[in-house]
Amino acid sequence: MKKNSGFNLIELMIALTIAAGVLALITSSFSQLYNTFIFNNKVLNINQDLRLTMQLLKNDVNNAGIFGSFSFHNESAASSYAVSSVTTPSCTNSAWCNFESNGVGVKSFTSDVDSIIPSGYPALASNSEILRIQYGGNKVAYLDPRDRNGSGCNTSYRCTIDKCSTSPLRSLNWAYFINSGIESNASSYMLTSANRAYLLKFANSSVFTTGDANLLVGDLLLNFPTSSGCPIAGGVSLKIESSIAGTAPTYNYTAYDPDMFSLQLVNFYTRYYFVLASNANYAAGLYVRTLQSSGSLSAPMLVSSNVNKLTLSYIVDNATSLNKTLNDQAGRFAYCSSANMSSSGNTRCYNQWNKIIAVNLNLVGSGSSSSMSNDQIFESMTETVGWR
Amino acid sequence: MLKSFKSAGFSLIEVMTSVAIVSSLGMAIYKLQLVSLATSQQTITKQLMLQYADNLVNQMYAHENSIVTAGDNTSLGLMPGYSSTASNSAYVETSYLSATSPTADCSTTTCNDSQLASYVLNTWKTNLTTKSNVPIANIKAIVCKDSVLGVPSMSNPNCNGSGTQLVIKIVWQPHNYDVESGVLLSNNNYVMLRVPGR
Repeated sequence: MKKNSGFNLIELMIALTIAAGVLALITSSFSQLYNTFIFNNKVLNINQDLRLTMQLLKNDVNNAGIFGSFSFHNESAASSYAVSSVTTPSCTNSAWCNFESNGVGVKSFTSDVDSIIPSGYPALASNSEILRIQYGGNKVAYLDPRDRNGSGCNTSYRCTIDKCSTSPLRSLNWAYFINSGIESNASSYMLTSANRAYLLKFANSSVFTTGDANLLVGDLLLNFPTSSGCPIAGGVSLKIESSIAGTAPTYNYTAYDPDMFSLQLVNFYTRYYFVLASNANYAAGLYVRTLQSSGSLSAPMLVSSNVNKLTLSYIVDNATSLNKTLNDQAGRFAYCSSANMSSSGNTRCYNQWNKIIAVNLNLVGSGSSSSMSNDQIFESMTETVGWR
Repeated sequence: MLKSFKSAGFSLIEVMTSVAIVSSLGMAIYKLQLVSLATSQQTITKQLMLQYADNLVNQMYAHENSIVTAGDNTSLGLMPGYSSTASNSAYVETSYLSATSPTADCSTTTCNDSQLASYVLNTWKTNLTTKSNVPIANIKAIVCKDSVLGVPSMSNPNCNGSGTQLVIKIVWQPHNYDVESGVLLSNNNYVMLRVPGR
């Protein structure tokens, strides 16, 4: 009869040892694989977040300085275009009044110059900067020429250009904007023409509800100054070229401003992007504040908690005009950091906000992989927006 | 007497054989995991490299838009840094290696077109090698003229130098190169981005 014994202890021990070794090898190898997978996932996660954030910033920077048909790009250097003179009922809001016509809608600060970090919030993250973007949004109303084909313009029917009158004051008098949902208590509109951008701040709704029988409630009526330069009481008055240049309207119907008929009313956007450190109440990350229709800035909103630094630099073009003969002009371009732009000692860069041709955005994100405590993930992303 | 029931277990050889079969299956699965990991790593790297290439294109565009090139047809499609005298784009590189020193440091001094182009390329390449922070052992990049979009390798950018259109090519060598089967992945460690002229 065949002996039918099992393994003895020694055999079993050896077998167990070998099996344990093999298992340990497989386990550690799989755990490494798993850790790498988690690490990769985290890298990808931060990267996606940075990309989305960058896309958001790029879209805004692309729009910066564009107000309806008027663009500050390449134009703001010419002082004749940088007109923002408008008599408005009041201008009390700092975010509103901070609009600068001598830039291209992009400005950055190394410290909180505009006081946009509310109290209670964490401080600006170390070495991070504040980006301010200003641009015009959708058209909210079109100019209505109110031309009656030569029939009489009178006190009840005012024409933009009063061709019927023989008065020397008959020219630029009124601009009507047909109501298409103008928010009568909104304070953030921009009036733009082909060559100019005007700020409008409506402190009260009365400017939209004139007594003019031909206007619907909510229509906007702008008064142009009379030839003597006096704004018309009670309305929003606006100076356009001929008045500013001191040219009084004349009889022969030519004294209208060419800008006039390209006027359109657009929303005005001001946005601040900034990276905060953290405190007990707020997470670290990139925050945004937007100028609201009420005239105040929104509360800071967290855009991404993975971003821990935002810095900007600029390519400044010192060419005085666009001309092919200027190619290879010595000393034409300069790379400037935000600090350079605000440093009065820096002759290349100081206050050259109106000569920016490209904005370099740099975002830094970091984190650690939960499964590998010593694996610090650090990602830096740079994108450039050049205006076309 | 009862007939004895033969009750033998598996022999050692049988057990070894079955363990060998099972473990080879396990190894195959493990290998598959590794390859899949390498592929996802490759994808991440590729995405990052495309972002880098895109960044350079945008910088070139920003530069290009501020330059009015000569109105004749021969200059159409040429990129910024176009020199009226050298009749060539300052963005075309000959070096396939790391960044060459810029002709001027535009962050401390003002620059002309070709100096700006050289500075842009230098900072871009420096960032690529020092800040890209991707699991790669080696990286090479070039901006060149190439009318046929030749696939680059680590040793040769494969640019034919003809035409007016510029191409950005980046090639890298992953850390886990040995893991990646040559057949499956070695063909995938590059990005090419054509820079459209205007």
